[in-house]
Amino acid sequence: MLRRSAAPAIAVGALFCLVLYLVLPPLGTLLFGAITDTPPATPPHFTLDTLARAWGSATVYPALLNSLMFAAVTATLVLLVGILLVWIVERTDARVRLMADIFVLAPIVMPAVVLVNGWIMLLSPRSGMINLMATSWLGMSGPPFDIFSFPGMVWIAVLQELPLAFLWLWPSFRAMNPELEEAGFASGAGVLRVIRKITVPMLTPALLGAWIIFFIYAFGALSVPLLIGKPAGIYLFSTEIYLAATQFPTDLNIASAYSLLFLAVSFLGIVLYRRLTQDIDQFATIRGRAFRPRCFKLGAARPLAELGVATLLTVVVLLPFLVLLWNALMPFPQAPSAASLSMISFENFRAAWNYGPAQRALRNSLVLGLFAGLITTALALAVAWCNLRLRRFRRTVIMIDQLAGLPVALPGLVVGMGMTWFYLEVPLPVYGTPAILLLAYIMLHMPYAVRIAGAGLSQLHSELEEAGRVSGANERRVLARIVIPLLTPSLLTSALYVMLRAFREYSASIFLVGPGMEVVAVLVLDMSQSGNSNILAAYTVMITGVMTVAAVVFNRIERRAAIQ
Amino acid sequence: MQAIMHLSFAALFGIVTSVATPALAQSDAPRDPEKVWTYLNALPASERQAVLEREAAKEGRAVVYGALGIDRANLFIEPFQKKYPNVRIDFVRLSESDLADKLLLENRTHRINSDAAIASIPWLELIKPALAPYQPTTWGTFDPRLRLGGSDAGWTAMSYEVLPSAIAWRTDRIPSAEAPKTLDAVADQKWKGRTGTTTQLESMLQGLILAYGEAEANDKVEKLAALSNRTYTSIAALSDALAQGEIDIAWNMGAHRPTQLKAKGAPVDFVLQDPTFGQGITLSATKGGEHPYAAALFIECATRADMLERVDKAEPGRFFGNTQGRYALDLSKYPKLVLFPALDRNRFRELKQRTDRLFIRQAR
Repeated sequence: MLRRSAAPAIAVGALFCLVLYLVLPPLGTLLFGAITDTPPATPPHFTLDTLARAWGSATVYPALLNSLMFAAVTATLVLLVGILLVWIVERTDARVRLMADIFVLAPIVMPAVVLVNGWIMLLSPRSGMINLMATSWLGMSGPPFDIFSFPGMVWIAVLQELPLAFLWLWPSFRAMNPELEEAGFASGAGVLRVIRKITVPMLTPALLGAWIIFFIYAFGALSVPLLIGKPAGIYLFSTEIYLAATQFPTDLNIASAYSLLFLAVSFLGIVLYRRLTQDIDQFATIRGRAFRPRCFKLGAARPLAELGVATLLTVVVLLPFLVLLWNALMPFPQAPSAASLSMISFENFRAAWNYGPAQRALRNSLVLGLFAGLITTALALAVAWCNLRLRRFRRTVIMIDQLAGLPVALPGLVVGMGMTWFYLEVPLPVYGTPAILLLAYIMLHMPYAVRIAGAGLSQLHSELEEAGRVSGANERRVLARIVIPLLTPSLLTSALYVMLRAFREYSASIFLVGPGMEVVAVLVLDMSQSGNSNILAAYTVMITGVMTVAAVVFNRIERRAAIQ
Repeated sequence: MQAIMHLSFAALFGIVTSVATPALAQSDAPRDPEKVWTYLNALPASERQAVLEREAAKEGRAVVYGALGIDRANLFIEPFQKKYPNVRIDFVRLSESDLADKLLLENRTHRINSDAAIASIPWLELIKPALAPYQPTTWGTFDPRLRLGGSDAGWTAMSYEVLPSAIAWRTDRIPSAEAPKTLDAVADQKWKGRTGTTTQLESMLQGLILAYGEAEANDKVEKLAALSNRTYTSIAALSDALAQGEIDIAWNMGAHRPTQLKAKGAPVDFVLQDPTFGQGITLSATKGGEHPYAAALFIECATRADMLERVDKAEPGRFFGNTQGRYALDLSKYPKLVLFPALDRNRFRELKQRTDRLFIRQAR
């Protein structure tokens, strides 16, 4: 009896320890770095000078302002386009499901540096293919687009984040209870009025929560600020952190002091998110009674909607992929021309396949990604369930939830440095083994997995679980027979997302890889920095193929498991 | 008779010592990381190779950390593996800053995973506490400018190759006769908006100061900055931008890049800057590594003239440190080569602030 009553406390305690164990090494490094001016593993010299130096810099405030604007605009556009897209896919009779599958998966698989370079090749003012076509074919006097600008940065960032938006919003739309909408229609309201007055308010907490995550994500984005913003003289806050931590002489203390703001933004975001979702019953959409979300008939607008999604797919996926393919077939980077057609060869594919540890890296990434996806999702489910369902140990549960959300604010290289330092100091056989990469991937992606699982769980009314308990099932059985089966679409979404994100994570990976443990992202970075951009393009085409197949299989399982 | 006795004794002594020295070496090869380098440095070249091969075979592997492309590292590793199949070389690719941080962190915590490191001269001041004082038998055959540290200094680094800075241009947009061949010519305002360079300009500025003095160097740099250059985070990115046609002229670019582009048929040509500047790539053993003999054997192999000649044939456009080899670019013809020097943190920071203000932070 005593054992039975102590079990929840032990479980929550274990969960707290596990999350703390994952988060503490990088978080500790960051906090420690910000209040000292000495490098890791040296006798510390505690001082506030580091903070004063970081926040007294003349460059930091304009960068912060740029970042806030960039993140707010990007998150808002991502949310609006994401809502429209998910609504068309999930709630209308438009035949765009296959397109949506490709749309969601392909850009996540494509490494950020490749995607951004693809857009530079399309929209660079001097060499961008679209600009060249506009000036030579349409006779324009100058290039109509300049990717090296603030709108250019937002454009690529929105395209990069849209798949995340789709994955984030999809479970909420998929599991919506149609009762209120039906009531609206029965009262004589039109489609737009029902959407405005019922659908949107019902989804508001999930949408606001999503906006916060998109904001944090855009605030911490690095590839676009670095590859597009920096050449244009537009510095973002993440650029400053990157420069402090990577340019000689590296200053991890300053980078840590800057990163504290990321932590604060992330912490605030999580608190806001909790406020929004604290009264979850009013948003619960899956109840005890059977339901089928209403499918809106688009009528004459259907071809238009299908064309819109197809265009979006072309812009987000096809155009960059074609640029990638073109580069994969060329001996050196160049814009398409009649002369360059004679240079087409498959040599880069052969070179990519035989490029040092390319095959081993693919194997390592697949295995690590799969494990990271499954373990992170399991952990995220536990955190989300405690947070949304457990009425006891509230303080501990809130701490767990907030700890689990903090890694969203930790730059990858701080994670790499912190984990290296921690596992060099503690006598655990982790440093130099694949386990260190796995731990980093779980920790880095935990915030996203928790939110995806949480978004799904908040749509699930507790009356189903109560019914299970009333029928005599214990908590474990309720979780296994009711919660997990109903949450399967969200959980698979989370696992897939973590797997794909782990596949392209590089900033921590490059610090943590050991001999024989190369992963795809590190190899991609190597090819990029070594000037093998055409071999990189060929490698990415192959990787995209492999991952798209894997992801489509995953996606099919997910859809089959979804609530009919 | 006495003379015969003396001769016999001398012959016997010679035989005994020639047999005994390797035998002693065999039994005395120390394992203590602190003693290995003193022991190896003291061994004559004729004996060292045998000791290294034997002890490296016992160790079976070496881990090399490198801020160097995997394909480039393989130019050294593959021939080594062919010759010594029982000594595996594990190469770990890192960026320069990660390499420095990781080497120093492992060194401070005394859990060293690497046995050798490939870095570059500007970083040596920072990473030298993690480097071992190994002088390979090729030390004496290297250009003195490319031997850094020394056994007395407690660390060594051999700049086995140097990336010379070049000015490259697109031949389809600028006829070679009109292309700028010097930095002063690049600084002509007629090229404004058409030029690009890398963001790592601190070393370049220090090189210019060494070549021209502070005032003239600053004047040149300010004129170059007035071009509104597009800046790229790496030489590779600068090279791609030139190939794609984003820029027409690239300066402070490693000559190996336009060499490769030209060989692949890109409409690109280049000249080495005058005075010629160069970034030295270095190879060192790591202090406290688990496999010092295997690391030393790899360094011996990688710094030999025949190996460097082979690397030069595979990818020309660089200077090489071993003076006994014959390469496409002859280092002896560039007596005024200005190597980007190792800088201490403060000087680097000062130069960086200046170049950042002029090139990077300027509004386009």
